Amino acid sequence: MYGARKKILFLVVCNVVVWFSAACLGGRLSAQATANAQSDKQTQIDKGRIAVGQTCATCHAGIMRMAQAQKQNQEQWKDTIYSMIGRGAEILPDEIEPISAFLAATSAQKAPANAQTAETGGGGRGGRGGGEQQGAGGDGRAILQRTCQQCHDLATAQNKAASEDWNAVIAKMTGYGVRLTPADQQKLIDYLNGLAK
Amino acid sequence: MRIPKMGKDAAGSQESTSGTLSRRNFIAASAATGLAMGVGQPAAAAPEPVAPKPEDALPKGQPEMYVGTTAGAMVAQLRAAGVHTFFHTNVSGNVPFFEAIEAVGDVQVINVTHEGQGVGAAAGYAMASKGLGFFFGGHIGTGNAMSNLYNAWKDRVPLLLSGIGGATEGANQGADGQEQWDNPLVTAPFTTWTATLVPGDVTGLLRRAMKFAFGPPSGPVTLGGGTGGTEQVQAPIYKIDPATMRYKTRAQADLIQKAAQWLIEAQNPLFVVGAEVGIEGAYDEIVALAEKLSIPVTETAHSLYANFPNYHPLFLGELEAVRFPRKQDLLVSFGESFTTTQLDPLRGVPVVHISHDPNTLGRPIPLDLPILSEVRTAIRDLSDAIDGMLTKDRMAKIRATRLAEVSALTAQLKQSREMALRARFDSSPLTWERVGYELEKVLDKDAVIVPEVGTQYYKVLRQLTMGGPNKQKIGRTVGQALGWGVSAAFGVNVALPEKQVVALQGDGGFLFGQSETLWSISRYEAPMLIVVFNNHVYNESRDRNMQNGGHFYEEGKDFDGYLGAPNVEYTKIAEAYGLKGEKVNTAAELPAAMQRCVKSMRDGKAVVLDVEIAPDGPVISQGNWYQRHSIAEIRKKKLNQSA
Repeated sequence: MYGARKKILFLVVCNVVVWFSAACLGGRLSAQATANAQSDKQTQIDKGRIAVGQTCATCHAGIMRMAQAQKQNQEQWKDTIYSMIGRGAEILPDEIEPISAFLAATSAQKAPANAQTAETGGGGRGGRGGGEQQGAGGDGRAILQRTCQQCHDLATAQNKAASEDWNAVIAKMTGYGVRLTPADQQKLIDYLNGLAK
Repeated sequence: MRIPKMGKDAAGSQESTSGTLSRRNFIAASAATGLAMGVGQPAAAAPEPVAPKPEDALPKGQPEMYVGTTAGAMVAQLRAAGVHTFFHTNVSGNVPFFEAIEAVGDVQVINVTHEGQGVGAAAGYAMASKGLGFFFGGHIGTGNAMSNLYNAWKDRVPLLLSGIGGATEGANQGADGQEQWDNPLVTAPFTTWTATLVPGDVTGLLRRAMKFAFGPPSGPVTLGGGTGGTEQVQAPIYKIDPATMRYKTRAQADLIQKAAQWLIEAQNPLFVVGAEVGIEGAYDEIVALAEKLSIPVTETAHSLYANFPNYHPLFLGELEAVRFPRKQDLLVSFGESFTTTQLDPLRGVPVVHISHDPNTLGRPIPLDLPILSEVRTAIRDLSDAIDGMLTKDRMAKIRATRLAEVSALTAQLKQSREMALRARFDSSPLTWERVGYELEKVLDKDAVIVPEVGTQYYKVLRQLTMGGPNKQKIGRTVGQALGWGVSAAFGVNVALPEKQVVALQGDGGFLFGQSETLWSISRYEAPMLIVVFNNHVYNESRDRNMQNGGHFYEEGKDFDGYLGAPNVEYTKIAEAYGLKGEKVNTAAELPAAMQRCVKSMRDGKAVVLDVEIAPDGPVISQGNWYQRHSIAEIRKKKLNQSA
């Protein structure tokens, strides 16, 4: 009798240990899975950011502000992306999800207080006249607003780590496809270096 | 001057053994000797005597003399320029002209019930026929004509408008008399020349008018003063060939050599093809040149014609949206004026601009290499220059490497478009893409498409196989003043009776006074298809107004965008003019409706196809909002009440 009770107690303890271990392991796995999912999502968003800079910002100079103003979710943004592909935007099949993820994440952000008012002057009824216009040249600040702020907040420029070199950053961004003349690159670098002082 | 015979050129090709100098060797030799290539020099440079051609014989004799009325002289001179179709809007005072028309027996008058639509039809006719568009009306219709006169000027369409603009009744100028104005240059901003017809030199004036119409730069000419009267004149009749009326230019050899060298040295060159390719019909030449080095090709958002096959693996789409190749290092424009193009994406990239119009070179953007030349000739010269600078092996290597990259990219972009099409394929209201998809299934391979829609037009056009031997496109007008599309499409059908002509029309654009053209379409039994993309909104302007947010976006209000209330029944407008109307509300209805449309066209009757289209762009919370105002409600006196 005592032996049977001892056996039952042993089984109960074992069971508890197994369940506890499984729970702990499951929790760790779950946490890991969540972290992985977040990491995947961030990877998607980062990929989307680059694609937006290369594609959407070509015509929509204020894409960040536009995304924040429209407050669409990812599915709605995907619809917009399909619409833009129909209009001729050069978006590749594997960029549709990342771009919609980035725009949805941007939509969820509050519009920055220093957001520039987009130029929405008189335009045609059916063409591209009016709407957003990008000026050519300009000083470093204008270039920053026109080019960098299509994808990055102004805070990005102000919070650069001391170890980072703006020359390298701009070189990396032109590698991503940002189009700046050498002269404009230098103006921008000078301006950004000035911000740090 | 005799060009020295060449040895083996840089490409390893053999010297000519035929006794004649090839274009390639001519270019190389010209460059070697410092000879500037110009008009007429190839013949002078030929090393062997060339047999005379009958068509090049020295003209003999005097111009044919016309004896009769000034109105008759005008008709005779127009016919001598190959003009046998006269577009017209009703006005008094043209009896001598009509008598002259009836007397010759081979002129067709096409009546249009509004001067603006008449000018639009004449412009469409000229663009399709590549000849001269002629319209005559009354000077009092000048204001009505101005909108499509502006469009024709932006499109560089050779047009001659008689009775429009000019001075009014000379003796009364300044008197503010009936139907008079003071400024004889009222149409000057939108014409290449404007004048007033005088009886003394009717045919000379017409000859000059045609010279200014064909340019370069080409464009509309207005002649005030009517169409001539019954005064007796003796007038020379000048033979004019519209095909050779525009003065021809050929680039200097050193410029071609430089452009060829740039093309060879560039790692990621890009072509943009413009309206001059279509005007000159240089379709085969531009395809051959692009294929020679597998150079990707773009067009601008407002390209007037289908200048390059849109299904070609080298065709990327719109220049404004171009993203690949990633780092372009050379842009070569073939007859694209850039007048409506933002080149921000390509800022800093060297630009070569080849144009037959000196007026456009270097205007909107600074150029690194402007080349004044007929585009077709320049393409051929450039091709030969490249042949002379590259070995066949090197050319093949460049071509293969680049073709693999570009075609892989265009295949992916096609896949993206397919995904966009399928994402809402069965949606109702319908998508623009679905309508394009169904049009492609039912239309003739060589149908002509005349669009007047906003930037959604690409959603339709990329579903259609266009360019080369396939469907052609005329429009949308670069001028973008709405109220052009239906009339221009009608003019295209007058010029091309053997083709299916399809007007792609936004509902907003249709309401810019275009229903009048349905009268002409019905009267002259033009078996066209007019597709009205009916989304009940000025979608393009709402999209731009709302996309950046702001007060009205937050409130969901659009003061001038909503077109419902009333919802226009376009099929009933068609029926009012004796045409067929088809209404499509759902995607499921579309294929059968398209079949009925095509059958009606084959039977000789035009159709207005009214398709419910889903608006796109930012959705606003009160999409149907408008600032309500009811005169019936606010009036204090009801009509059934006595005072």
